[in-house]
Amino acid sequence: MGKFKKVNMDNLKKSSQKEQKVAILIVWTVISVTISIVIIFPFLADSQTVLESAPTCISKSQFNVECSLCGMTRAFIEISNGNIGNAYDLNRGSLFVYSSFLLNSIIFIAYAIYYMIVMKRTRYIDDTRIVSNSKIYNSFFY
Amino acid sequence: MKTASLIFGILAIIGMIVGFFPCLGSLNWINIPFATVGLIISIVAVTQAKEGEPKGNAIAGLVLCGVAMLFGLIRLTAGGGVF
Repeated sequence: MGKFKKVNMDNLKKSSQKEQKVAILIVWTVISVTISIVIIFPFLADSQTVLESAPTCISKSQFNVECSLCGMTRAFIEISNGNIGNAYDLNRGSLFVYSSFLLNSIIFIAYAIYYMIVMKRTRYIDDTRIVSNSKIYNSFFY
Repeated sequence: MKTASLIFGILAIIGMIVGFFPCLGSLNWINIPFATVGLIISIVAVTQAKEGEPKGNAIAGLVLCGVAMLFGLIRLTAGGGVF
């Protein structure tokens, strides 16, 4: 009876951990998609449309004082046009932020492709349990 | 439901942190209603959990949404968004 209770507790713990992993994965997906849109948008739309769609800084418009994020939209437009030097002049942190966004997007796309390949290899044993040949996939979900 | 409440909680906290950046306080106008929806989902998840079932994730979502709402409101008030 005690052994059964322990196994049941372990299963509940595993199920809870799986839920947490799925939640983190979904949150990462939402953030990565948003970031990817931010990166891709300046390439698709003209600079005027991007500037109009971005929020205007209250600090600059009301008090005429630039904040740490001022010039970021213009810097992103300059980076998408290939003018790295201009982007650095507009906002010094823009290169770091843009490269972080880009790196995250690349990792996310690579993971998504890998996940799709793994899902193709996955074989269903029954309705409740999925078994994959991949060790990484198993370590993530089980 | 428990996973959904956790997702809402984490996203609400991230939204709150981004809202703390200078000039991005207006994000709380979106984040607070989002956290409220998460809070409702979390309450439902906690109440619907069966006997012996772990409620940890639902409670975590509840706390995260509550914190995001509270601090978002404070940030909005401090930034002059409410009064």
